[in-house]
Amino acid sequence: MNRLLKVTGKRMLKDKILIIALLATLGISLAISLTNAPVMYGWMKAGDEVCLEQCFYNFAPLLGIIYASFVSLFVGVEYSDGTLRNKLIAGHSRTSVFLSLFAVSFAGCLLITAAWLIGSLPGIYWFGGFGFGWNGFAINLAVMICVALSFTAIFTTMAMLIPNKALSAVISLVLWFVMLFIGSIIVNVLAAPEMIYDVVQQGDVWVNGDLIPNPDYLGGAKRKVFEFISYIMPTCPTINLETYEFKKSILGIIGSIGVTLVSLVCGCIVFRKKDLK
Amino acid sequence: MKYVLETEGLSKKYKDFKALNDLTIHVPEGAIYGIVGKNGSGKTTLIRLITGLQEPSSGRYTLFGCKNSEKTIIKTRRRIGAVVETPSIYMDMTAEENIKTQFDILGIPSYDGVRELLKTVGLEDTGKKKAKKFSLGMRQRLGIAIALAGNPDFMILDEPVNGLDPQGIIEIRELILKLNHEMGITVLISSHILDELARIATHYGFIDSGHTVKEISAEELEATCRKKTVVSVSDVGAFSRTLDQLGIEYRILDDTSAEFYSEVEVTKLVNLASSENCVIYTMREQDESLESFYLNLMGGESHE
Repeated sequence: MNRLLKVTGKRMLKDKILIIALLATLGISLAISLTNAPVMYGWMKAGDEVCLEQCFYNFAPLLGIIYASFVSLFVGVEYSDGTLRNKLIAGHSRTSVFLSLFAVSFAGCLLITAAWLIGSLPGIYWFGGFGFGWNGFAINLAVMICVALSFTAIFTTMAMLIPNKALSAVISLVLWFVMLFIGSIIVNVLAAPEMIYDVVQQGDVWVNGDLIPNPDYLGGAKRKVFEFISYIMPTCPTINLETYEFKKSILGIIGSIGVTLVSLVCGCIVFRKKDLK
Repeated sequence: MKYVLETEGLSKKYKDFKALNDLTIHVPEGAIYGIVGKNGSGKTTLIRLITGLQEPSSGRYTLFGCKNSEKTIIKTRRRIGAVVETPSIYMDMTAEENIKTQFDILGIPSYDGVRELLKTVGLEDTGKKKAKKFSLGMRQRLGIAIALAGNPDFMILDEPVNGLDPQGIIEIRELILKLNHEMGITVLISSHILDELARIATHYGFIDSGHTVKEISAEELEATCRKKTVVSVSDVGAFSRTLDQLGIEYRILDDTSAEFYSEVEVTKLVNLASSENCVIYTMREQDESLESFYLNLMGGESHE
């Protein structure tokens, strides 16, 4: 396994896709930071509750598209160049091959995450520091790392089970998009308040009346199911980063680790039985 | 005889299609064993099973005495080098980087042997050229170099000359012979280019529809495909007496034709036959090739 990690790691450091992904991530992050931070700072000055995190993590969910592209293309080379065979014939187990590719891809995704965070740093110039404090920053960072972990596990599994590199890349991107779409809906539904003010007319103006139950509030078993999905779907914790809640973050971390383990175990089992060409 | 590879009733089924059906072959140590069969006959499937890329549906094989059901088969496979279908090389790396990567995969601590391997396959001057810019022949040779990285005792080459130009074919042929003669590596080659195979193979395994039709050594094949001269004559009895006088081995085919199996001085034969009042009408040399042997074995046209 160590040998495979060394070989795959060396290949990753020279990998053009990774270099392009890092530069693209850094560039996009810098551009977003430099355009968003001054605008948001203006809102803060105007009295809105805005902090650096909203600028910092605003587009974090989009990182998934870069993870999907990098992992599927990096792992897919083993199939397209046929080099997977060399490793197996050399006496390495399929599980070792699978896990080494996962581990190195995860390292690559961490570098991409770091590039994103570095690109977001100029926002500090306007806001001075993080609104949720260093503890909040550390927890959010842990969430991002765990989300990167679960995304890597899912996309590595896809790439190892679909020998066609292009097809695997397309499916991974579609999967990410579907997860983002569903994740956004779930987060929005769960964010709906339980009680809302009734709006009543007093003369010519509309004013807030009594608190009444929100008809859009999701309760009971359905809410539990939605909450569970929000913890295990990798896109949800990244959407929640802007509105830091300790409990949600911790459950997001646990959910991401759970998804990682399930993906890896299922991926390894299927890959061990797979007929390779 | 000591065998490097033996298969027994090996079968591989993909859904309803049987790619290998009760295949049995024996690859002797030190041989260049050619697997002959048309496209889709199961040659590549057999190689995929031996190299561990796929598991057999039934039957078994033994590699260096280790059964495929034993756990140690994974370690035993380190004694083999293989090029399956296309060469397994990183296209974004140079030849040297590719071999160094394989050294790392195998856990070879020093890169000392890299230059020598490149020299063996004639790629020592490729410098910083990436494998994606190599010709098909160069890629094939690099694939062989990678397969050689672990100093294998058994080399498996799947259609190694497919798509190569004449020069590339000659280079690969010479390389295979060098590996076998100088380095003592047993070689298993699958091919449907019979003419090429006939130049190097010491043993043959003919397979059709995933089943072994015949296993034969090159010596036995040569005896079967013996060189002969077919003659049509006016009097086959008189002609047989002539051949007896010359001490030549022969066979009467019918009333007016016979065949004999040795080189003969034609003038002497004609004069002697003439003295026996026998006229020789035609003489035709026949040399059955691997191709015609294969066609006869497989049932010729009807099998295509």
